[in-house]
Amino acid sequence: MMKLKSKQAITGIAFALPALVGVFVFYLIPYCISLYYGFTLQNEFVGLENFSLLMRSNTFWLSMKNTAVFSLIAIPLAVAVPFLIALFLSTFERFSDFFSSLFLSPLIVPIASVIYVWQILFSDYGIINGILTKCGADPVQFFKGKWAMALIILIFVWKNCAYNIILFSAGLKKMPRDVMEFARLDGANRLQVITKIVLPLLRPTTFFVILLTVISSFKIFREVYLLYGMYPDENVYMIQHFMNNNFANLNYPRLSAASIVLSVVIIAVMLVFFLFERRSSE
Amino acid sequence: MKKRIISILKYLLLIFIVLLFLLPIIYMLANSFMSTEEISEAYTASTEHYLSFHLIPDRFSLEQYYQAFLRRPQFLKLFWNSILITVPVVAIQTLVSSFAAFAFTKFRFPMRDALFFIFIILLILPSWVTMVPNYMMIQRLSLLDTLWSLILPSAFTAFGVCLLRQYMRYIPDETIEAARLDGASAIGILFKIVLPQVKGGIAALMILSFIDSWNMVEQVIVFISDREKYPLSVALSEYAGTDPGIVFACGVIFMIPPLLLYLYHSKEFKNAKV
Amino acid sequence: MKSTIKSIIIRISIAFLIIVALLTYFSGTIDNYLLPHVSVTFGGEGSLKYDLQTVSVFEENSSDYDDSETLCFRFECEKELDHFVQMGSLVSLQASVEVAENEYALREGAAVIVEKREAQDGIECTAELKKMDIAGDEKMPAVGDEVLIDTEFESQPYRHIVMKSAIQNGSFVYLVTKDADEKRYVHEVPVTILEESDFYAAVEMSGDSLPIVLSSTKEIHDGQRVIVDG
Repeated sequence: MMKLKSKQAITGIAFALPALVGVFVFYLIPYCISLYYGFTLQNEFVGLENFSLLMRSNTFWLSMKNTAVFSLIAIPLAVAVPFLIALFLSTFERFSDFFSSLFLSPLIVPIASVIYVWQILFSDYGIINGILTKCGADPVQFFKGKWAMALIILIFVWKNCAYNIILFSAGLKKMPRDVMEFARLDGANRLQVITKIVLPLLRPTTFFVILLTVISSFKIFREVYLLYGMYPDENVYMIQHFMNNNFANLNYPRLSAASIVLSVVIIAVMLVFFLFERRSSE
Repeated sequence: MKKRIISILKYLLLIFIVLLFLLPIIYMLANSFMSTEEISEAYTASTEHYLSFHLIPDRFSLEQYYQAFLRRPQFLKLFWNSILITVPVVAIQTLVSSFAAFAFTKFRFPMRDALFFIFIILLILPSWVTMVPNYMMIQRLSLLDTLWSLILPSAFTAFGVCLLRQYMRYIPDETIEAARLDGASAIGILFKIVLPQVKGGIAALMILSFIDSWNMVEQVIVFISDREKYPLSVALSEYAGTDPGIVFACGVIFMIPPLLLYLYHSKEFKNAKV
Repeated sequence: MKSTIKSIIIRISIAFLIIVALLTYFSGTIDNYLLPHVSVTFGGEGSLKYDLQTVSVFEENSSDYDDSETLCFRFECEKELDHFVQMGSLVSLQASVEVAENEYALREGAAVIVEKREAQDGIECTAELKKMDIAGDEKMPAVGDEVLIDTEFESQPYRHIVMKSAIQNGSFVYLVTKDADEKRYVHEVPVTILEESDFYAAVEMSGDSLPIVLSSTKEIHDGQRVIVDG
């Protein structure tokens, strides 16, 4: 019996080994190296010097602020909108596979492919502004100021709705129909059914959707870069811009310090999120 | 009667929503069949007038495709860069993650949970954090400015392991135990019993990781300085500036590989249960 | 049903990849076929060089005062060297010297031009060689010995020296520029010829250090896309 167990353990480790080696070589070990860089300046231990320099950097705080604003608006939207659409879709008796494929297309189509369409639609003399002026409204500068952020959020929601709708729809499909019918008969209105019955039953799905949306919200830089380049309007200057610009001048101490600070922040936020999820599911 | 109107309204709303999602894509597809002349006429930026909505080509033309396929060798070379990055990433990621996820769900070994915790942490760390360690290692391995610098870190992300583990958890231990008692080897169990049951997970992993590397931007502009090695995901946007006449066709061509992969897996992918 | 869809998609994918691969492979060839090929040269700073290579025979010194230590010889050169062959300028030479019976060796030396006059299709010069200007040997060239004149004259320095065959109609050259896509285009740039030798010309033009079209397989015009060979 003992022998069987140890054999199992060896096989298990052997199977996990390639992934572990990859993760250690490209993530864990170099992360430790960057810890070293974070606390040194020209091979000298400087304590928190790099961090205080980082904290005094205006661009760092600007990028933090923009990323926070983006996440706080875009993530809830990219979860709520698909949920509503999925609810709407669930009211159809039969819903063909064909339609759900159509919903996935924004996910499948590469960002770079549609970026020119966005430019034509939203540029200063673009199609949307043409329609706006025809309707008598003032044209909007979508690529500048507050609107730049709004445009990015719109594109993000457009792109990420796709998969989330599919996930929510799958979750709703599994929902026992008779429970809802009973509640309806008991006199609960539609909103009550959704908040009291549907949402709690959908919790695991929602959790997974939020997680996926958060992960893809980290990649919004791609759209911003392709639309605005390396030095965008200050309202959409993201953390990735800050990092990339520091890569450009190879400022390792600052990069390492930023990487450490950000990883601590994100791990903390996500731990709270996980704990909250566990607490509420109990 | 009232019911009828409501259901008509519902269908109208459905069509509206679907159109909203599809419009940019339809627009790109339709515009790709215009001649380069028509494109430059329609979309030359000017401060005189607003661009108009120009969906249907005046004359159907394959000129953009002819230009992209036959007269722009550079475009096709960059297209291959994208393939050369994405295919290895998806292949390595799928294979390595299958083994690792199997190990983390169905085997017991020391430190298992602690090691898996590392994967969960890595899963949620964004590229702005992980690119710094990636860069340090790539530089030490002197892989900067090669396609490997894009392939290797992306191939070993934690995403695949976490996703597949989520699917494999639902396979009952008894199934595997029974196969083991029948004398099946661990690799045999993985390929004959486990993987066929998590097809949805494999499909989702392949599609999502394909799309992720197909859209790669931030790593490219930091790790690669030779523009000949840029994948289309970055280079395509530069065409808009230099060669706007063929941008739509290039976009359509660039869309084909992920679309084919998606169509191949669409059944499993849509029925994904989590 | 399901598996047939999958196999169709796999076939489409493979066909797509093969087509793209073939197109990539042949796209260079297609361009090769359609576009003019040009060979290029690079201009640059420098001076024009003129060669004077001719053969003559030593004669007895015919100058007024008789000096047994000097020999003279006559040679002809082209008009374009007029500027360089002046009274008193030096030409380097190799004189064949009889070191033993029927045995000749070449000795290097330099002679001074003492006389110059217009000839039919060039200039005739007479140069004087002092015997002691022949590098150290007791054996000196004698009357009737052969002399090989081999001198390179250099013009003043110029900013642009280009090959004459690159100048079209004596008035412009084609410069090759390259865009972000590595595609090459030719541009017409006017030039003024300041001085020319056999193969090179000193010109005035704009556009530093760009490749200049030497020859092309097809007619080219301003703004044309081309393939640069080599």
